[in-house]
Amino acid sequence: MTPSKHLSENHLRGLEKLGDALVPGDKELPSFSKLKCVGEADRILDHMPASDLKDLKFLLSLLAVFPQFLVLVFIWVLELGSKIPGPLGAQLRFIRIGVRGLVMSLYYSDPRVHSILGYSVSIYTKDLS
Amino acid sequence: MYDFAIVGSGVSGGRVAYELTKGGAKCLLLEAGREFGKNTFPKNEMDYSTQLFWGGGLEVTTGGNIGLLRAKCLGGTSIVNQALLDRFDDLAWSDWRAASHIAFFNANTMADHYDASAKKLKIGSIPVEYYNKNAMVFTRACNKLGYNWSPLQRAQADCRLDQGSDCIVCLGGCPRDSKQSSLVTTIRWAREAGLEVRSEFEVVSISPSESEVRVQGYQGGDQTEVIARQVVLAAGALGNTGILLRSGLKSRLPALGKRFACHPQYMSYAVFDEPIDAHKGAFQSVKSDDKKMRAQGFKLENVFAPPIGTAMLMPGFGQKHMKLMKKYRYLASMEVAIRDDASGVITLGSNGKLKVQKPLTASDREKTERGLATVRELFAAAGAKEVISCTQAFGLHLMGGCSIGVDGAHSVVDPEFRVHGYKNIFIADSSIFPGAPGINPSFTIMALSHRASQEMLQSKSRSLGVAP
Repeated sequence: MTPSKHLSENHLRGLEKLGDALVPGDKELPSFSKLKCVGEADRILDHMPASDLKDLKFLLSLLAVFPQFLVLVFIWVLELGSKIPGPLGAQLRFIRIGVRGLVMSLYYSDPRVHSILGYSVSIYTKDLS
Repeated sequence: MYDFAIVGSGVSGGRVAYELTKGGAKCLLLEAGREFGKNTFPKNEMDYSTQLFWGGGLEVTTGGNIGLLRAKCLGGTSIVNQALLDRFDDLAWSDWRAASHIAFFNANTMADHYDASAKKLKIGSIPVEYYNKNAMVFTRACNKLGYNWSPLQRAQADCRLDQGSDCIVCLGGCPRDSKQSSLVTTIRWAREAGLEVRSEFEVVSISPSESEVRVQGYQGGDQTEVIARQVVLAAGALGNTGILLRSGLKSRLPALGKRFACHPQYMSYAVFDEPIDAHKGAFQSVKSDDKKMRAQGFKLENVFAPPIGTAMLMPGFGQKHMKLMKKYRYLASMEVAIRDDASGVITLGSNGKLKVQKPLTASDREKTERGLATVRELFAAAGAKEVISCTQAFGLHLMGGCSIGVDGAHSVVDPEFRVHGYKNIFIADSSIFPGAPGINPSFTIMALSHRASQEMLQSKSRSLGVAP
């Protein structure tokens, strides 16, 4: 695994498990772990507030030792629990947004995924000095 | 000593900096974020989300119900927005007059300030031949069901749509300097007139006294202080409120932090049989312009999102989610933005971090449901095969917290744009909004800042004992 300034091997393992639960891959799209996009995590984590990074590391440490089916259960809890009102629902919504933000950013910023989706954009600049 | 220290460099900070510097004042502009330019803006969605926004991309209300997007870079929100220039209508002004008891909130008086703000900007709308398919879905569906729409007025110079420019790129800063952000307009003009700019200077608090204001913050990790005769807070609803709260002014400003609103927005996607390619070409050309929608408290935006944004908004996960994402080219989208009740409250947590409470009221929820129902109706009329209503709300227009009014018990800023009880602290940005207008706020922030700049220059002249 590509080393990270912020995450240990264990954290990165947790992140790959999380990623595979959210984006498991199919015939066309690779799974999160097959894309090997965790190597780009520092591009996000460099700008993450310190308290959020600390919480993230704790979560990834836990997920690293979870079997994959428990990671899936965790995701289901976030999906269903984030719909409930009150402080518990608020906490689950925070975690859900944070977890999805990290995984979806890493996965859907990859040029190989863009190519499969058909996402190609540019701004004409040839006339500029 | 500086005549004015201006905190924040977005639409208001840039406009104030320009007007004051042009008027002969010695000004310093402070910005917490980095300075980028057309050749150095982050090149992709992940990098611009993390590098151009507070919180590493997204901040969230305490209930976790609304994601808040707040730019952090020289030029502020004007770098990442769509440069839409809408004037307020009579309804917005009359509601503001009722909330603030300020007489100049009317279309006639403010017209002068809109006109003055627009003077050197390049403004236009997207020619019909460059509407992309997402815009065509929007306009055809509105025509079919009898809803009014109109072209958006945009501050843009030369997008070269004829050469295939895809304006979705400019959500992370415009590589052509076509978008008329404050960075390439007011700040550039002010720099030419002598403005000093310090970026990566995060202001924490201010200490006002009779003759000066000390502005405390951090630059490059070091504690720093700047002294100016007067300060202009232009760091937005969250930024300004946070600075005043950390400065210990809440006890003298009971309304501080109240009346927060954010035009909560809800994206809906529709799947079509043919490619829509909503990410291609002109990104946002048209808007709803319908009296019935206005009366019901919502408007529709003709927008789309790049892949990460779309993945974040699409509900669910796993195979179902990926199946939807693979239809990316076949997706059209519309967004409901509601004119929300200003029920939000901004406070400081025990750790010094801002807490934004923004529960949606029953009226807000009703407006949302009506808006989403209208979108479903429009997509059905356009022949969509499937409609996905996203449940995650987000707020791009962060307003209030330092609302303007005549009464210091119920507002923070007086009609001359001074903080009540402080002759040398001015505010003119979206934080002074006494309520949500339900209209894109940028142009009105410019106009208010133009008007406020006149007050500030008069104040400077009075302090020096000369005629303005």
